[in-house]
Amino acid sequence: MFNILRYFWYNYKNYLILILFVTLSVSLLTLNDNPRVKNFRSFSFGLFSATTSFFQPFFTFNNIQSENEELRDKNALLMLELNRLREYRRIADDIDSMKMQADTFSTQTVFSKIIFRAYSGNQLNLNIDAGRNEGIEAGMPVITPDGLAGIVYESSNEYSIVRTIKNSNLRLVVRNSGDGSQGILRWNGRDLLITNLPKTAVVNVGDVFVTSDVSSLVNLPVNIGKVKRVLNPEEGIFNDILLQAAVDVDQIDYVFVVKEIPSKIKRNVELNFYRYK
Amino acid sequence: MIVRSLIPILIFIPILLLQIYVVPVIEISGAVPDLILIVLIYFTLREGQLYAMILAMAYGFIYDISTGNLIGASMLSRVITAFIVGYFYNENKSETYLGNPIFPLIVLLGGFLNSAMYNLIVNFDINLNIAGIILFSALFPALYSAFVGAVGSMLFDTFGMRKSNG
Repeated sequence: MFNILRYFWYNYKNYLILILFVTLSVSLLTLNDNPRVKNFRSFSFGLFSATTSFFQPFFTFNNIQSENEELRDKNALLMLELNRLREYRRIADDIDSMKMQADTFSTQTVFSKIIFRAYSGNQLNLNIDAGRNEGIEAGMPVITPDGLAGIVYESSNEYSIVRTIKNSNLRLVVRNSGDGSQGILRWNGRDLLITNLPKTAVVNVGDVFVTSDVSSLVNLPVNIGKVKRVLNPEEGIFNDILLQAAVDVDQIDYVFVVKEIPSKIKRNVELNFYRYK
Repeated sequence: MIVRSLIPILIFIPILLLQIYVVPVIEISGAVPDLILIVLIYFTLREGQLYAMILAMAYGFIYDISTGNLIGASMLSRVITAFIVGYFYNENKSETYLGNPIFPLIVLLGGFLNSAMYNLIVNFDINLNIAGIILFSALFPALYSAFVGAVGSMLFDTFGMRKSNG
């Protein structure tokens, strides 16, 4: 028996090791949503970021240190406020409602530097130097003064991973700021697309798309990009749009994390009636 | 013997730092060369299939946990790539691959397999054009890796020859 096993191992050890490793990898893949694995991942990328962030300044090629962080923060907030005001102008009948909206704007952002970009296949994730200690949680939108960069995917105490708009797992409901038609934003590995847009929607090249208020991920009207081309004007039930992203996530050095989780806010509102017993 | 087996780990640390901090600077349309894969293929051609699979497992795991990616995705794609590239291993030729045009070609094949598998694992979606994704997102980074592999291989070869001549 032992000889048979030894013969088998001697002749097929490469295949056995391959099967073992593939099984192990697939098992780990299926365990990615397990809280323990998530904790381990948060801990490990936090540790890696902390130990290697020393190298980051050496590889920062743009002259970014001299930038005024406070002004950038203001800029990002103004962008959000501007988009919200645009939205209200579209639906408001008088200027008073716009004033009221401006006065009630209370969103907070956290300024953060990008430690590194992780390119994996056609996915791009960012690792930023703000985490749970700054009140950042998974699900918070990440913006730049130009528009949406992504969503916080996971946080450790001091660092967070951001799933950028160049990640096929990030899908958002977006809205044409012109006619209000809604579609789904997705990254197909090569281009940023908006799919499921009704054929009846009036879409012109150059139209600006913003995140929709019905989105459970980002319900602030944040700039996404401009229409580059309608891909299938003559066929299909829905229009597909090729979008020119407002934010070049390959080039940015700073981001702002908006300290709001729309899904939680919405859920609280939706489940209000449960509280009245 | 111990030093020899530690070399891949010692090389991996600076390569990982380069991959994470420097390589994004030279991205072209979102495609970046995979330095870790180039090193893995080098060790595969030098040490053989079994050694390469174990190394691929370790490299993939460390890469996944340090970048916050899906744990297991890099491991799986790199292990299968190492297994396939391992068939190019030839004990008598292992030292002649560097500086030889065959090295970038093997990197091209390995890069394509690795990226294609990785994208299939991470991006799998029935609505997406899988063939297009594989072709674009696997071929371009693989070509880029092959180019970097060719340059690296020539530099390494030249440096090695100078050393032996000097």
